[in-house]
Amino acid sequence: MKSNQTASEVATILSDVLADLAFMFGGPEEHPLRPRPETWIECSIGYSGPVTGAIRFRCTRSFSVMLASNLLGVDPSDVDVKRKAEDAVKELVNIVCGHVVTTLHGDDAVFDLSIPRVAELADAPDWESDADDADATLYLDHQVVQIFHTLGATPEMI
Amino acid sequence: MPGNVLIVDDSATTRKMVRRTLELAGLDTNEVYEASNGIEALSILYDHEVAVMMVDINMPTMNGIQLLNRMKENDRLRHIPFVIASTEGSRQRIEELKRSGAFGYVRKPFKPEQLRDVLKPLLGVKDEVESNSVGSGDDSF
Repeated sequence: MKSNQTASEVATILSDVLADLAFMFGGPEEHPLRPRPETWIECSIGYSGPVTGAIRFRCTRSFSVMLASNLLGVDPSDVDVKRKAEDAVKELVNIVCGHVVTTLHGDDAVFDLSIPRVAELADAPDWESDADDADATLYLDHQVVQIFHTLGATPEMI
Repeated sequence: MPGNVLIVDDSATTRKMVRRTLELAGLDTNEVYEASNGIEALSILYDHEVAVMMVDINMPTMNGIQLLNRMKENDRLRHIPFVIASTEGSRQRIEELKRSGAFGYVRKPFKPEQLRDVLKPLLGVKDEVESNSVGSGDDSF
């Protein structure tokens, strides 16, 4: 994890939103069980106002299903959950970005958020090596998620 | 009499969540319509009577602010009460929305009781006694 105040705030926001939105509780301590290799997705969003910035959030497909299941309050095997999994990640990232903007830049200025986009990663990321560059790496129930905040960037630049 | 509600949010997950939250909050709703952007919302509003709208800001095609501006131009739609449900945290923009006539504002993520508190004056609740036990403050303007 980046060792600065911003990274710490981004990490706290991600943890809080996951808990409040989806009753998912994670922490920075590595879980003894390693996540299984599988497809990863990445969701990006940008904000613009007095300053610009962008957020990338990475998770596995199965995390996205778990998230949608918790948000909708239905079983993960439900067809509707699988269909809404990416949408659930977009909403999570949208909410996190809204809170990151006001936490880092105050609530006086007006910022516009871009529409979140999700893309499947061609290869599973080396999340352990990337952990130093991430603002947070959270471990939740045999899953790993990572978030990266880049000040001055736009989603097109990252 | 229970009122119809229109949820306007580009996230299908959020629309489902809000629908579920309306049920959990015990609000006295009739039909609950869903729209994924301002254009779809206008189409529903032209065809149906709606008692209250829950509107997101950040949406593609026609965002929440553009939708509210379009509604103001229409005599039948301009008086429909709306509540903003958004990630928006800018005081300036919230004030702007208040001046535009927003009845209330809930910031995502929100709890059922927050939604209930802001919508209760507009819709009423099914079981007044039961729902009175979970108050969380008033988010209406």
